[in-house]
Formats: sequence, structure tokens, C-alpha cells
Amino acid sequence: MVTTSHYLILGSALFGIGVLGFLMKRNVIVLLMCVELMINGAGVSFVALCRQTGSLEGQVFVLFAMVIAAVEIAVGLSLILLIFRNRATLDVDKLEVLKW
Amino acid sequence: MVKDSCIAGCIWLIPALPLLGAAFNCLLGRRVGNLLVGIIGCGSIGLSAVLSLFIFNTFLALPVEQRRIEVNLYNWIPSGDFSAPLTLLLDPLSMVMAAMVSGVSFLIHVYSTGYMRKDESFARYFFYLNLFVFFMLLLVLAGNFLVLYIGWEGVGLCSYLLISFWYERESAARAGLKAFVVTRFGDFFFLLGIFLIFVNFGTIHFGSVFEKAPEVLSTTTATWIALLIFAGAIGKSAQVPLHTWLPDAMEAPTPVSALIHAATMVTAGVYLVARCYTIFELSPIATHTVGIVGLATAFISATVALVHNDIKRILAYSTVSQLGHMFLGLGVGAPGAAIFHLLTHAFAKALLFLGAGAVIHALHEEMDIKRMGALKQYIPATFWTFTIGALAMSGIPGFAGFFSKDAILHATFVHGGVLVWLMILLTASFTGFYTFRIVFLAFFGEKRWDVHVERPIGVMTVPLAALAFLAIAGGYMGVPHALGGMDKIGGFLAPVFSSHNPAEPAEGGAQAPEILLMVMSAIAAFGGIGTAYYFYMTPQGKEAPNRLRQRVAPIYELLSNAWYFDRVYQAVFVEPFMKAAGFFWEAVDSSVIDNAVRGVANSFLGGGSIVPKLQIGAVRWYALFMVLGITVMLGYVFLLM
Amino acid sequence: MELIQFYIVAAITISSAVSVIMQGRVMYSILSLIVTLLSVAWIYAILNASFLAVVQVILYAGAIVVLFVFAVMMLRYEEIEPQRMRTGLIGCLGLLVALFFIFELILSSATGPFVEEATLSADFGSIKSVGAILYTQYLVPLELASILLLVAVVGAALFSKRG
Repeated sequence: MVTTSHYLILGSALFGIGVLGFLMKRNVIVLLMCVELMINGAGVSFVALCRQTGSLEGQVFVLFAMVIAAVEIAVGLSLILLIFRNRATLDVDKLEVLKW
Repeated sequence: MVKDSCIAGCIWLIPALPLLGAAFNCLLGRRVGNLLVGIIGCGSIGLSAVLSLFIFNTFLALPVEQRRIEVNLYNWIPSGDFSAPLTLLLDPLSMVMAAMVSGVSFLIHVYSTGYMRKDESFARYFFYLNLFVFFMLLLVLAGNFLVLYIGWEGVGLCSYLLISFWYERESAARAGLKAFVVTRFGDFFFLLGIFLIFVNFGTIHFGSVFEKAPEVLSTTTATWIALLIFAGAIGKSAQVPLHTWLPDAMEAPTPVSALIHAATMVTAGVYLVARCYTIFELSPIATHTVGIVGLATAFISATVALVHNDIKRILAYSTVSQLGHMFLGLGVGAPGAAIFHLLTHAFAKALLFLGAGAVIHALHEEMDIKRMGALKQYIPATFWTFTIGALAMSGIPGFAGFFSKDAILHATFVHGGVLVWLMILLTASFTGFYTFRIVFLAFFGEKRWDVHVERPIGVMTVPLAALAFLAIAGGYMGVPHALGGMDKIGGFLAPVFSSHNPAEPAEGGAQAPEILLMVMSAIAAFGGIGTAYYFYMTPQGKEAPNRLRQRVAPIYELLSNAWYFDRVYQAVFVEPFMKAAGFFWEAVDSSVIDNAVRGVANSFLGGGSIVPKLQIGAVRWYALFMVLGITVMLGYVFLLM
Repeated sequence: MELIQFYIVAAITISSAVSVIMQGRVMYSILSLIVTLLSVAWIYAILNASFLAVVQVILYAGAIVVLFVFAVMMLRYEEIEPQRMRTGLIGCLGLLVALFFIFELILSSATGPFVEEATLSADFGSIKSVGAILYTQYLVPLELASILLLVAVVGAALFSKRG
């Protein structure tokens, strides 16, 4: 019997892997992918709880989260493009001009 | 009913117009030039005066029982069962006061345009003055204690600002501070009184408080409330022992002294006690206190006025003394007479102050009457109007002061006893003496100055003439029954002092004493004037003042030091306070508190130099801290569960 | 049956997600990401969210991943910065914190108190039902989201032109 908890654990694991990657990787593009992982983890939990409670609000939320993700990727990637053109690197540790 | 609503509709304009004038003079006054400032300043008050006279006229046409109009402008602080609406109340008492305040203010404003015409801060002056009139009108038209208190504090503020008007003079700045602090001391008790009223009644609305007062209040509570309110009145109206600020307040420009420190603000205390008369009536102790304080003030300050040489200070002590008369009138159960005296005194004293202002102006800021003299030929208009004011002040039959003072004297004789009456009679002769001492020393005798006399210009003489007319005619509002008059003012005001019976037409037998009393007080006044004449006008009397001074040197010292009130206050309150303040400043503030503050600041500085090191600009560190924070929070939640 | 299905999809999701963060080359990461996103779409389908599953495939696996691929190919990043970046001290600390975080998350998922499971209607999660709620109750947020998308498109275009 698969319970909601199973799906929640799966969502949490996905989210956690996203966090792990975000903390460990240095490539900006990969960091963006990790953010996608986190959003998907949260989405799985949303949809699982949605089925649990029988309301559609959670699904609507996931839909909006997808919109946000798309926006974020579009703007984020174009920023990365710009950065790479100017600095010739994608290493976050080297992008620390915005100190103070 | 039509008239009724017409009045209700425009009451708010009476205080609003001066406020508009004040706003204009405050915001634009420095840009538009003195002429427009003067026109706006006088015009706003003038309109307000015309309006209040018009309303007065309409008001008189109303039947007696309808002469109480309340307007609720705005519900200001609705909070639970407490509400403080911005209510204006028009009844005979506030009507009379509003008409007097706006009228006298208008005349003084007109006079000021002449007196202050060379001052640099012309616009600032008219801003303060208009603002003052607004607060004063708010005070007298207030429909509950809170609105009254706003006006009460507002006039105190304006008084402070105007006393310190020439703030570059240190004495003026100090005098303003003194006036503010001393009156504030009284205001504190007044505020306590208002709280006590609210606790007992659950409302601060005049109508309901005074209606329910006899049932709600026990004698003790009534005494407390009345005494607290009276403490406020003592401060504001410069009664003993808080009178010391008024003579110092003469640092203000002279028209201000006329307006604030003679005619209007200082009478707010009298108005307040009259307004709350229902409460005072419930407590014999409170009424007696009012009477005793009034009597003491009247006597003490009249004696001090005898020996001073500064023309404005004499008038200031005279004002304090006359305010004492009014409180005595309130204390002996004649509020109508007190208000009547308030009105006639306002006219006469405003006239005297403006006249004194003209004299000072003529001699280029000379205030010592010993250095005046023979001014009659130079400024005749001022002389005649000043003399009319002096006659009215001294209570010479036919002039305004006579009727009102007589009303108080009569009530004193009936309710206060012969001894009190004799003291007041003595005071009356003092009044005659010191006012005419000014007249004789300033306008007669030989010339003791050598400057070019600056004649008062038209805008200064016209208000003098108008006030002189009022100082004569004002008394005929209240010709007593004994002289075949109607005592109109007493009858008009009577409904306000509900349980108080207006002086009933005297019986045939009682008439004789009243006339006798009048004759006695007239004799006293003439006696005072005669003595002044003997001392300062006749050759054989020239040496008399000096001889008298030597004969009673201790008394003279006592009087010229104003009964040592200021010295005692200095020694008992001011100096210990300054010492304590110095101690707290040096020992407590600069060592303990300052170091504590600096320590806190330094610790933040030190911490602040460490924390930025964490801001390394590396995204991953920030992310790490973020996740760490969330982890810790989640862990905390788990621990709780 | 459902259990087996769940375990299969869970295994695919987790392993591909781990692969996203473990790959050295960015292109491989992207390929792993596609697998993850498709398996999440599968999970949505299991969970009666058929509409969401379709959107997931179209939007994520279609649009977003293509964006990534384009970006990587336009940058020709691997030619310029070919060596694998070492994660360093912060990566180790991050591993520690993140593992603890995952532990806590899973703990909370496993123990959470749940409401009674609702009985679902036949068209739960269908286009019709989601569309109905989206265009009535959530109309204003939907419009705002479209404006947001427009702004993002304009912004992205602006950035790449100015560069």
C-alpha cells in the first residue's frame, strides 16, 4: 500500500538532493538545475497532499511554480550569458564582486 | 429654530478664522510683505469679531431656555465608553467671553500693526497672535473638558512664544520659560482634575457632568475636583502663590501684555471656575479657598503695585490684583459679578496697557515712570484715553469698573463679612493710588527725559479710543438694581450658574446698604487718587513719599521685593533643583549613563567590524547559512514536538 | 502493483537526480535532468494529476531543458573552462548540513499527522477541473503570471542584446 508519506518522502529526497547540489556545485548552470530539482521536489509534495485532501489548490500552485521556474530560467540564463561574456567564467566562487 | 440652526452652523467659524489667519501668516507671512500680513492678521480676527457680535445679537433674540447651543464638529477620540468629540458649546457665558475675546483681540491687533511696524519679525508676531486668538476662542467655546484643555494649553504655548518674542534678550527667554513652567505646574493639577471628573462621571462633556454633579459627587470628591481645577486656574490666572510669572511676562511686546496678560488668557482661570461653578458650589471648602486666595492675591499684589516704578510691572501687579477680585467674587457666590468684572477689567486694562505701550513707544522703550513726566502736551490723545482707563480701573462712579467692582463688593459684604469687605475697600483705594501715580508721574510734572517724542500713529490711537468708549460704556451692561438699573449682564448669565440665584431686586430696606457701600467704595477710590495727587502733584507733598519710605522701611523693602515670593522660590525650589540637576548631570549622567551608552555603541562598533567579514560576497556561503538556519529551525520544531 | 510502480519510479527519480549533481560535464547533467523531470511527470500521472503531468512534459522537458541546452551550446563553456571544478571546504560543510537537512525533511514527511484521505471524483486533476478553478478562483493570479512571463521574455531579450 502506497501512502501519501511515501510520496512526501520522495519529494523531500528530491528537494534535499537539490539543496545538496546547490551547496556542493560551483558551476552556475548546474546551480540553476538544482533549483529546478528543488521546485520539482516541492511539486511532488504538493500534488501528493492534493490527492490526500481532495482539493485542486495544490495543483494550481504547482502550475504557478512552473511558470515561476520558467521565468527564473529565462532571466537567469540570460544573466549567466552576460556574465560569461564579461568574465569568461561560470564559477560562483569567482563571481564575488557584489561584496558589501 | 431657524436662528438656532443658523448660529449652530457658523459657530465653528469664530475660532476657524483666526486659525486660517495664523496658517497664512505662518506659511506665507515672510514672503508677502508686512501690509498683507497686517491685513490678514487683523482681518481674520475682525471677521471673527463681527461674526461673534452678529451671533450675539441673534442669540439675544432667542428665548432664555434655548440659549444653549451645542455643535458636534467631529468625533475625535471614540474609544470604548470614552469619547471626546470636538464639541463647541454656546451659552450665555461662552457667548459673552467669545464676543469680548474676539472684539478686544481685534482692537489690539489693529494697534499692533502700528506698534510693531518696525519689527523684523512682523509676520511671526501676527502668526503667534492669531494662533493665540484661535486657542483662546477654542477655550471659551469648548463643549467638554478636553477641548477646553487643548485651548488651555494652546494659549499657554502662545503666551510662552510671545513673552519670549524677542528671544535674543536673555531676560525675555527666561521670562517665557518661567511663565510656561509655572503655569504648566498648575495645568498638571487641572489635568488630574479632569481625570477625576472622568473617573466619577464616565464622561467629560460639560452638560452631562454639571447636570449630574449634585447626585454623583460626594462633598469630599467635589472638594478634590474643585481644588484641582482651581489649582489650574491659579497657575493660569496668576494667583498667589503662582502669580510670580506675570510681572516677568512683561518682557513681551506691550500689545501682547494687553491681550494675553491682561484681557484674555489670564482670565481663562476665572472663566474655568465660573464654568465649573456647579461643582464648586457643592463644596464649601473649595469656595472658601477660592475666596481666600482671591482676597490674598488682590491685597498682596495691590500693595506691591504701590511701590514699583516700571510702568508695565505696575499694570501687571494691578492685573493680578483685579484677577484676585474676580476670584473673590467667585468665592463669595457671585459668579455673574466676577464675569462682569472680567469684562470691564478687560476693557480698562487693555486700554491702560495700550496707553502704556504708546507712552513707551513715544519715549523709545522707556519704562521707568520716574523718567517720564509732562507727556500730556506731547501725546494728548494717549493721555485722555489712559486717564479714562485709569478712572475705570479705580472704580470711579460712572465708569465701567465702578459697577463691576461694586457688584463684587456688595456680594463680599453680604457673604464674606465686614472684615473681608474692609480689606477689599483698602485694596480699592490702593488701586486708585497706583493707577493715578502712573498718570501723575507720566503725564504731569516736569519733563524728566530728553528724546524726540514719537507720536502714536492713527492705527494706534483709534483702538485706544474704541477701548476708552468701552471702558465707559461697558459698565452700563450691569447697572445694579439699587441704582434703578436692570443688571442685564447678571440676568443674562444667570441660567449658566443654574442653582445660583441672580441678585434679586433688592427689598426697600436692603437698598440703603448697597448704596451706602457704593458711596464707601467711591470714597475709597477717591481717597487713593487724592493721596496720589497730594504726593505727586502738590509742592508740599513732594517729600512725603520719601519720608514715608524711611518711616516704614521694612514694609517698603517687603513691598519692593514683591513680598519675597521670587526669592523664596529661588531658594526653596530653583536652587536645590539646579543643584540636584547638576549632580545628576555630572555624577549620574556623564559617568554612568553616558558610559553605558558609549559601551553599547562600542560593542556594536566592535561587533560591526567582525560581522562584515562574513559578507564575503560568495553565493555558496550565503546559501549554506540559509540552509543551516532552516535546518536549525526545523530541528527546534522537532525538539519541541 | 502500485507499490512496485512507485518503487520503480522513485528509484529512477532519485538516481537521475543524484546523477544531475554528480556529473562532471554540464551536458550530462542536463540529460540526467531530463530523465528526472520525465519521471516526476510520471509521478504526477500516478497521483491523479494528469493535466499537470502533460504540462510538466511540455513545459519542463520541452521548453526549459531546451533553454539549458541552448545556453550551454552557445557558451561553448567546456572549451574555455574544461577542468572539473573542485567543491572545496564549503562543499564538505554543505554536504554535512544538507544531509542533516534531508534527514529532517524525511523525518517530518514520515511522521506528519494527516487528514482523512478524501474520496476523489473521476475527473480529479483533469484539464476540465483544473481549468475551471484556474479561470474562476485564480483568474487574477493567472493574468499576473502571464504578465510576469511577458516581462521575463522582454527582460531576457534586453539582457542578451545589451551584453
